[in-house]
Amino acid sequence: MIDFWLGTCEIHRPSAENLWGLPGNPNKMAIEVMHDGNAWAVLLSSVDDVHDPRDLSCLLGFTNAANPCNVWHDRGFPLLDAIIEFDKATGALKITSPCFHEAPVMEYERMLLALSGIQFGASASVTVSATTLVTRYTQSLQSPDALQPGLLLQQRTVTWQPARSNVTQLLPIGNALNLDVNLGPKPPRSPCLEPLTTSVVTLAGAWVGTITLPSQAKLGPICAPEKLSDTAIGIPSYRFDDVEAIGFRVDLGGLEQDVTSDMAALIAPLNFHLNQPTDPGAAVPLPDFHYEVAAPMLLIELLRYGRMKSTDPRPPLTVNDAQGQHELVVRLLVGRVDEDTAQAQMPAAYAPAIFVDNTWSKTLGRDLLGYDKCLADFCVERSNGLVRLLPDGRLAEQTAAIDSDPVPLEDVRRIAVVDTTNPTPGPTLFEIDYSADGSAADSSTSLNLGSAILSTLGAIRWKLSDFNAAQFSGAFARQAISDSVMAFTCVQTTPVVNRELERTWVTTRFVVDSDISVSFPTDIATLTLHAVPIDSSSEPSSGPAMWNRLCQMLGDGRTAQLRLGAGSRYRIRCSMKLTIDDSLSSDDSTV
Amino acid sequence: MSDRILLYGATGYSGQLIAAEGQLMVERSGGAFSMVLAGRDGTALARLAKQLRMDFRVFCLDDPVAIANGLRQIAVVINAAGPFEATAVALARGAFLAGCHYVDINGEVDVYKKLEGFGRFAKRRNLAMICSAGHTAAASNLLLHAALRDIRARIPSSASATAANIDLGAVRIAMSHLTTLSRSSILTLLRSVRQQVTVVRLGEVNDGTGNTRQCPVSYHEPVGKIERIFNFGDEDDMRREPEYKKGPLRIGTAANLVDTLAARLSIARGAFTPHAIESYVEMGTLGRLGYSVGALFTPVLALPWTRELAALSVTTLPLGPTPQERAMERHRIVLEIEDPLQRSLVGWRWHTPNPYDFTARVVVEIGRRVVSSASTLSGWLTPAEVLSPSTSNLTSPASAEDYLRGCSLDTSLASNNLSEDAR
Repeated sequence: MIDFWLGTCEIHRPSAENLWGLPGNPNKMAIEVMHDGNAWAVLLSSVDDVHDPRDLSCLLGFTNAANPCNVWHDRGFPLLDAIIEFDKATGALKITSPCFHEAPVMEYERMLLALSGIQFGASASVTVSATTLVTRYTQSLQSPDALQPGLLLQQRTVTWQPARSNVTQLLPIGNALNLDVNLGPKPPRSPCLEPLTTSVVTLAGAWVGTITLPSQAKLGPICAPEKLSDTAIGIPSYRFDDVEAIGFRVDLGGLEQDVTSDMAALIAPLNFHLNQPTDPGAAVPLPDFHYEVAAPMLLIELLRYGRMKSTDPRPPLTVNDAQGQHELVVRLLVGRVDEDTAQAQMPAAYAPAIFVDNTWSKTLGRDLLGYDKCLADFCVERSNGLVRLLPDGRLAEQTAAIDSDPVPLEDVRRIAVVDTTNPTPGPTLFEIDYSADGSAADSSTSLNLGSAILSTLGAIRWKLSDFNAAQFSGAFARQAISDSVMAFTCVQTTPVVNRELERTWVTTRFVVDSDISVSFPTDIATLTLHAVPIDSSSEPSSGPAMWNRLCQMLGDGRTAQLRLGAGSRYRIRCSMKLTIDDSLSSDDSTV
Repeated sequence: MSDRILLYGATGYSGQLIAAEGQLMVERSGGAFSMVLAGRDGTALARLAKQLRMDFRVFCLDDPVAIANGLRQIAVVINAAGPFEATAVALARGAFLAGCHYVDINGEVDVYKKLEGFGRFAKRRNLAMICSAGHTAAASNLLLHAALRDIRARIPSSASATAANIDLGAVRIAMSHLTTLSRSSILTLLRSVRQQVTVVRLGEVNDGTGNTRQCPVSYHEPVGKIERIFNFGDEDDMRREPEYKKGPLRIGTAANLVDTLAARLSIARGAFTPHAIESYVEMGTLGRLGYSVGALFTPVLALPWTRELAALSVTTLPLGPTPQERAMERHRIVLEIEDPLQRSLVGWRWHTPNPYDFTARVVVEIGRRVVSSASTLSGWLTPAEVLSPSTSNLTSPASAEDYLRGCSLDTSLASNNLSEDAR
C-alpha cells in the first residue's frame, strides 16, 4: 500500500524568467510525496487549481527506488534517483541527489532539497476531513526521432490517473498549513528548482490517503518532432576526460556448449524490425537485413569517466561543468548482414547490459542513446569492509575531503545493483579478484603502448583471430579492429522499453584523443557474475534480464565464474568525445 | 492537409513533362488540386511557372531548414530531380519533417533500398512513401498487380484458398528496347552499371534468433549470366535499327532494375511465394556485349573524374527525345509468371506510350490519388497499391483512368490454370 501526501501552493517568483516554463505568476504548484515502506518518491508538479487539484504535470521528481525510477521515467515522469530520508516525528523530508551548485563539478552528497511540515495524518495542529480526490498526471513520452535521432525528439502526451482512496483533507487548527522549503545556503544551479526558494510556503490545500499506481495510460497523439537543441535534454554530445577502462575478453568460442542462440538473444533488441508485421496493412518494407554477433568474444569493461562534459549544454549548465561516472558494460561486436551481400558491414559494439553510478548519465543513456542503464554501486575494500565509491572515484561520505584523490580503479572489487538508493550497497552483481596484490597496473607485468604504435597495431578489444564466419572476415574484421581503439562505433536501439513511440537504431561514435595509453596486465583475474533479482511486479528493465542471461550462458544461471589470464585483459587510459551519427548530408545515416 | 502537390526538379526533362501533365490535372480538377514547381534554378523555374501559370519555390537540398520551409503547406512532394542518389534521401527526410507524402520517379536500386529505411517509419506517421513511381517501376508493377489478381481469381472460390499463400515459380519482367533517352537517364544508366544484377531467389534468412526461415531474398547474379528470349511482339517501330528486325522473339538480358524489388514487395503482399523474380531489358548483340564489357570497367566508371567526364559528355546531348521521337517510340513490357512446375500461368505483353510520357501521367495520378485519399494511404507503398488497376483498366483504359491512355494489353501469350501443387 502506498501512502501519499499532496500539498498545493502558489509561489510568487521574483523574475519573469522561469526555467520550468510554468505559465503565469504566481505559479501554481503541487508537491506530492509517496511512500511504500522504505521506498519514497517526491513529485514537483504544476497544477490547474490549488484548491481543487485535478490536472497535474510532473516537472521534476525524485525517488530512492531504483527500478520504479526507471519504469516511471519510461512512462513520462522526469525522475532522478535520490537518497530520501524522512523524519516522521518532525515531518521533515530530506532529498540528496547529484547536483551542480556554484562549483563546476557535480556534488554527489550535498542536500538538494528539504521539506518540513509533511504529515501523513492528523496531529496537534491539523485535523482531517474525509473527501475525494481525482487527479491525473499529464506527461510527455519522449524518444529520439526515428529518422534523425541526433537532431530531433519525437514525443506524445500520456495521461496517468492514479486511484486514490481513504482520502482526507488536512485542515489547519489555527494558523495556516505551512511547508518549510530549504534549498541550502544557495539553491542548486542544476537541477533548477525554481520557483522554489528557501522559504516558508503557505499551502492552499493538503491531502493524504493511499494511492494505487495506474497500469494503463491514455495516450495522446504523436506531436511534431522537436529539435533536441530546443529541449530540456539538449543534444547528447559529450567530451570525456581522464577515462580509464579495464577490459576483460571472454572467449565464448571456447565454451563447451553452443552459445549461438544466447548471443542472438543478447542482441535481439537490434533486430526489432524483424518482428514488425509485414502484412499489406502494415505497409512496411520487407526486412532485408539483420544484425548478427560478428565474433564470439564478449567484452566486460569496467570504466571510470573522470570528467564528463557536455559540449553543447543547456543553461544554466556550462561547458566547464563536469561530472564523473563508473560504468560496468558488456559489449558484443555486431555487424549488419544484408541478405544480398556476402560481406557484413557497419561493425559496431552493442551493449546488452550496462550499469552506472550516475543518475544523470543513466537518464541520458536511457532517453537518448538507447543504453538500458541501471544504477549500481561500485565498491572498494577497506579495513572496515566494502566502501562505496562516488561517481568521481572518491570514497563516499567524504564530503569534507572534496579535493581528495580518487581511489585507483583497480581497487574496485565489487559492484552491487542499487535496489533502494541509500548508502548501503544492494545485492552483488559483479566481483573482481586479482591473483597478485590487486595491482593490475603493475608496470613489471604490463606492456604500455602509445597512440603511434596503437594506430599501427590496432587490435586491443578484438583481434583478427576472433573472426571466424566468412561474412565477418576480411574487410569487416579489418575495419572492426582498426576502429576498436582510436575511434569506435556503438549501435543501440531506442526507446529502451516500449514508450509507444517509434523504435529506431542510434549509432554513436567515440573518437579517442591521441594521448591514449594502453597496457596489457599479465596477472590472473577472477570475475564472478551474479544474477540480479528482478522485480516481477513491475515492468522489468531489460538490463538486468540480459545480465541474467549472461550468467546463464557463462554459468549456472545464478553465478558464473571466469578466470582470465594474459591476453584476455587490457587497460586503457584516454580522453575521447561522443557524437551521434546523424546528418542530412550522410546517405548512410539511416539503416 | 493542403491539396498542393510540389514537384521538385521541375525544370529537368522528366520534370517538365510532369509539370505539363500536372497542369492538365489541375485544369481537369477545376481547381481542386494545385501544383507548385520547385528546384534549384530560380530563373528556369520562373519561366516554366509563368508558362504553366503555377507557383514556384526555389530551395536547395543541402540545408534541412530550407527543405522544411520549401515543403510548408504541401500535401505531396514529387521528386523528379535526378540523380536521385543526390536528392532522394534529403528530400524524403524533409518530407517526413514537414509532414507531407513523398513520391519519386527514381530508377536506382541503391536509392530504393536506402529509402526503404524511411518507409519503415511512414505508416506510424500516417505518411505515404511511393518510390519508383515513374515508368520504372510503376509500369511493371501495375501489370504484375493485375496479373496476381487474375491468378487469384482463377482459384476456385473457397475461403481457405483466398487466404492461403500461393507458391509461384519464376516471375520475369522484360522491357523492350529504348533508343532515345534523356540526359538524366543516360547518367543513371552509367551510374547503375554494376558487375552484379539484383534478382530474387527463394532462400534462407536469419530471423534474428539464430534460426533461419525460407522466404524470397535479394540475391546477386553476374552481369550477362542470365539471358532469355521473350516475345516482344512483331510491331516494327519506325526507329528500329536493322538488327532488331528479327521478329517478335528477341533476347533480354537480366538487368539491375528497381522493378525486381517492387515486384518482390507486391508479390509478398499479395500472399504469393515466388521461387525467383528477375527483370530483363531487351538487348541486341552490341548492347549485350557493351553491357558485359561495361561491367568489367565498373571500378573505372566509379572514379570521380570518369564520372565527371561522362557527365560532361552527356551535356552535349539533347535534353531528351523530342515529342515526335516519343510519339514514334512506344514501349512494351512482357510479364511471365510460372507455377512451381515451370508451367506458364501468365504471359502478358503490355503496350504503353513512351516511358517519359507514361512516367508523367502515372506520377501525377499517384500524387492526385494520395492527396484525395485523405491520408488513408500511408506507409511504404508500391505504385500499384495506390492506383490498383484491374486487368480491364490495362486492356482498354476508361476515360476515368486516363492516366493509362494509349495503353493496351495482350494476354494471349500464355495462360494456364494454377496447378494443385501450387495451391
